[in-house]
Amino acid sequence: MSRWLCLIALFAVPATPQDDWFLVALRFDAKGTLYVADAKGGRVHAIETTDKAAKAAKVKIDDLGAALAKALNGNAGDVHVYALAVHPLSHAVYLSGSRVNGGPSTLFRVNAKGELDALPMKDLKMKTAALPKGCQPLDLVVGPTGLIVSSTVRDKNFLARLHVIALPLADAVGTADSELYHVSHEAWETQAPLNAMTTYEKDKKTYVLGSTMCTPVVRLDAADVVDKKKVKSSTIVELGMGNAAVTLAVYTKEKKPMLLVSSEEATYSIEGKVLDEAEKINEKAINRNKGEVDGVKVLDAWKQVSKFALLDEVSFVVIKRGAKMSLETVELP
Amino acid sequence: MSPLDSLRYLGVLAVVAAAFLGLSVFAAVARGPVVVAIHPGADVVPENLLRFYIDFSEPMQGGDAFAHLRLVDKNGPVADAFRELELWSRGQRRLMVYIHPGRIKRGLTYATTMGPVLREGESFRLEIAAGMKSSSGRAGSGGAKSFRVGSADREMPDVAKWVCSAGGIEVDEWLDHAGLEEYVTVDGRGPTVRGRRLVLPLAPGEHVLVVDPHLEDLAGNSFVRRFETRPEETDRAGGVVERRFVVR
Repeated sequence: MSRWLCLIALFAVPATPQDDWFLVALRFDAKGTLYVADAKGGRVHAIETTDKAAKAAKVKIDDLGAALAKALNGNAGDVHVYALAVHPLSHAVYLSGSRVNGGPSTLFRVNAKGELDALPMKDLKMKTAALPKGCQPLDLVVGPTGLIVSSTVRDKNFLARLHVIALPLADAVGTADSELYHVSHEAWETQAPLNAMTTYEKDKKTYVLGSTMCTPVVRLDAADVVDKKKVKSSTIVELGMGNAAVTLAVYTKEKKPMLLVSSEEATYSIEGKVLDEAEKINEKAINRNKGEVDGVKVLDAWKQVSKFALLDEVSFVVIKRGAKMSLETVELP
Repeated sequence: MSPLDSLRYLGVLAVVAAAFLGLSVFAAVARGPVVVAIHPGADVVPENLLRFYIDFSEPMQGGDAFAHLRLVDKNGPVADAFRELELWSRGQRRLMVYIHPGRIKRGLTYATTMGPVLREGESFRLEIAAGMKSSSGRAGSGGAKSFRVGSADREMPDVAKWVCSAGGIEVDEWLDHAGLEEYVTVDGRGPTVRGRRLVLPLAPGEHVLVVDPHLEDLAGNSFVRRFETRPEETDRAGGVVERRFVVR
């Protein structure tokens, strides 16, 4: 009888997951606070880090899949990196990993030996802000008026939202609807959330650059993300079929700004003149579906790159797909 | 029967009941999560159906849904059928799955090249393979739903066509299940949603039906706007949709 009771107890007591979050985006502010988007909890966290300032060093993990699998108690083919960021002071690489076939995320920091150190949720000092009911975050950036979070609605309706949360992370979350022009579709969309975002500074203004599943790259004024307002963005490039953006980042090359965009299809560099474009927007935006490529270049050497983060003035850390998923340091394109 | 016999009888009954309860709990726990519903429940869906909801019997872990989900037609699994973004609600018990919007909206290169996911006149089957894990790590038994595809729906729903009676309301077309659960009230009460029927007893007299205009039909057309709008189209003005009706 006691054996039966033990067996029943074994089934009846659920295993406790290590960390109850699913981290789809990581972003540091200039002081080294790490902001993370938890898709499962519909919330964002501000995590205090204790990294010391250090020079950037090259990072390389040849078999990131195996390293993650070991840390997550899974198989190399079943693990996935959902987000990547570089600490602005220590230049340490942070990433969130998960077993694709189930399981919550684990936050990792890559140490000096190129190993993954897990950062258990319970050990982190953090503050949390919940998004409005039903909103699932997709990405976040740090803007001039606070943290800007893109989300979609997960329980009903097909809506695209942008949230603004004052920093240090406040409880009050402002929510705006976003509207963008879809070049291929020739229509304004309120139902296309920004999958990936980055920020761009120009003339003392901060812009958000973002992209949706249906492949336009858009620009909006970060200061326009205000509670209960509709934010209308300007579409600057239509990347074309299959180019749902995975990562966006702005960098400076030869004193000129460039936007780097990766998708499942390819990686593109987009010149600063396109980012600043005031006339050729929306209906007139550069449309790769029509063969228009002025200022937009396909980076053949970056074809295998899925995610990246700027390491310093001369290099990115990238995650490459392939037979083995790897983490590498590569020069700015 | 003596009082002692009665006590013995009750004792045996209690032991049997406890054993039955224990075995039932054990069986439920051992079998893991099950699919309790797939929405929409319609046998025929519009060609531009936007989403499915899959309800599970217990909270799910998440992260493994698209390794277990597939849409199958007469030729086998349909490639690139879904927008692979897991959208969980109801405490991880409900998964919302979008059919890839890039293959629904007309004029997109993706839709033009790949074609629509669902094709009018054909039959499909949504399959959830066994093995999806609950939050406690147990593997589920899976589920499936077959349906046929009708013509595309590009019109906004119309509350004036809903049939109201003492037993509840019959809506004029299949509407979004989660939306019906949350966006419709009668005299301030939410009905029980059973397919196209909104069940709640209504006494003779006047009643007020209130619908949040964000309620959508199966193709994402709401009371505010159609799913696919042209640049010249404007949203419907005003707030909630209200209709007064009398039950005799």
